[in-house]
Amino acid sequence: MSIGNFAAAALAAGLAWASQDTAWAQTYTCPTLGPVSGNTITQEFPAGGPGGMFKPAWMVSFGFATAKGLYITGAWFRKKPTDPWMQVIYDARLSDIFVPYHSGSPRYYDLSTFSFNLVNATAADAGPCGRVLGGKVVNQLRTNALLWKADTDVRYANELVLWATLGAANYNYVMSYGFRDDGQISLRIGATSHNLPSVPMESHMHDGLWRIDMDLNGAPNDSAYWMVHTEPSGSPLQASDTMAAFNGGVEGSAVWDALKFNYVLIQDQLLVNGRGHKVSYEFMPVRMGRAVHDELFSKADFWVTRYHPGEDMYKNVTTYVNGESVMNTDDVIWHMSPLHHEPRDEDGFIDNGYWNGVAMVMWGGLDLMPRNLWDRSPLYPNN
Amino acid sequence: MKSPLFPAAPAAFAALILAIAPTPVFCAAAAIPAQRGVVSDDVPAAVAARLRDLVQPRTMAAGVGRLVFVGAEPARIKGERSTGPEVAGAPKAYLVTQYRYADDTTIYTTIDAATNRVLARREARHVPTPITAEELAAARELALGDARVREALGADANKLTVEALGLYSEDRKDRIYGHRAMSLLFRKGALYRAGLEVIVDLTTRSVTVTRRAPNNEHR
Repeated sequence: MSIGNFAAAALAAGLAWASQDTAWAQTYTCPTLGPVSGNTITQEFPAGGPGGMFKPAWMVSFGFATAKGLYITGAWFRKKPTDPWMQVIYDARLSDIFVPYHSGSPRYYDLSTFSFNLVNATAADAGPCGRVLGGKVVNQLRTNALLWKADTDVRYANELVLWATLGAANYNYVMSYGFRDDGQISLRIGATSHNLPSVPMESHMHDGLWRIDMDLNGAPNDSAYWMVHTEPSGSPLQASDTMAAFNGGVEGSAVWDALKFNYVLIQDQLLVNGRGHKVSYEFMPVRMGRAVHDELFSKADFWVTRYHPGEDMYKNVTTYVNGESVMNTDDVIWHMSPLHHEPRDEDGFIDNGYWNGVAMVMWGGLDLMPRNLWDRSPLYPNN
Repeated sequence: MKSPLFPAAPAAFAALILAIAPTPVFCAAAAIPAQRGVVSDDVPAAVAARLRDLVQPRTMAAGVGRLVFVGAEPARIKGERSTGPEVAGAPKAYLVTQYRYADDTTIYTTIDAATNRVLARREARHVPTPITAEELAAARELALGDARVREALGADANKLTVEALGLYSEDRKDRIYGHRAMSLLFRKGALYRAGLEVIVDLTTRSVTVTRRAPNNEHR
């Protein structure tokens, strides 16, 4: 649908924003959203690379449920239509959201202790080019981030985005999953809405507790590694980067250090690209700091376990760690994304006994960046 | 883990504890109907109802004798390799969650979708388990029946929407350890009643009320 047509429809619905920026609205054509079958979207992206030889696509399945919010039940990628689908994710979700207040209490588990539902999504949520799926999930194709720039050449990333909002009483959590045409995946939690009315000015954390069941090229044959940057290394001017088996190759945890640029890397042991390099995904934290609480699971930022059915509760991740190998097997990655919320005047104020205001969205999460998925610069025409 | 009910009193909040002593309100052990429970968006209502009827007793005792149908969700059965979405139709199995008040136990039952056969069943004690809409309704009734809550809410008491945040503690010394408890919020349109903490413990059917002076100051 063109933006002009959408504007007409939106005006009919009484949406105020529809009249904004008329000039832009007259020239912009919305990108085409892919077909939906059940809870699965297949999104093809514009061609790129030498002679337009690549035309990437994602196929993404999702679910949404009470006390779980929005989650991914499978993601497959291909670089061109003639390629077979390559599985990347079996399941990705927020296993829980932990919210400890600075005074020591309360300490909420916002997913596992109450039956919160996703709020209904509206046309205003979807924006001029998006759509609402199942009444709760917003599906957009975002095209406003640079993928690469080379002097006067440019390509914008195209990203299939699915997001929804958990109504957690006074608070709202935006759960967002993005799948980009270069193979990158973004997992995001956004915290917003009303501060806790009983103590609206008390600082607190919102820890997004992610569980990502990575099935790169299928469930078996994945290995977990821990990446470390060291500087200085050798001499004061030198630095080095090392890749070692995560926790010595067995289930366990790792503490993220900003000085070491740490991340987890999941590598399939059988899948190689055209240059013979093994295909991996790098789990890059998107965060404002580290949160370490009294709870055992929070003592580390990453955990890696071997997949077992029923091992799905982040709070219990320490009990899942029992010395099994995380090399050449089926791995699950656990990561805590802390959001540190210090109330400010912008959050609102108590007005005649009632809290009046909303906290702006704070974001955290992970980027899952492909390594050697391509054997050339993605969608760059000159190589 | 720190106590979510009785933290060291932070001076900054100048908390005015109106009533720490909970008010026990025990119900008679009358039979009540099995609950409707929570229906996940990804499980059709009719399927959830069928699963509920498979696992829930027709009638049960009230109070700590209760067995709550928390909900049902598709149970994913992982294959070795997947080349596309597993499901075009219904899931092969469902995971049903129940909560037993008597011993703070959560029961997980995996049921074959086609045959209704129980494939697996396990129990776990003292784990976070979602509080249901029916339990929120019970907590609301308890709270609004409490004179301290009604006094705190004033003339708005019956006009407010009641929401809740579930409480959970691993601290054996905590009053809510092993209990089904929630903190209630009272909402008028987009506004929430500030400075009022109402905690309902459904296991002991008690209400705790804390009022704090309005405080618009922050760091």
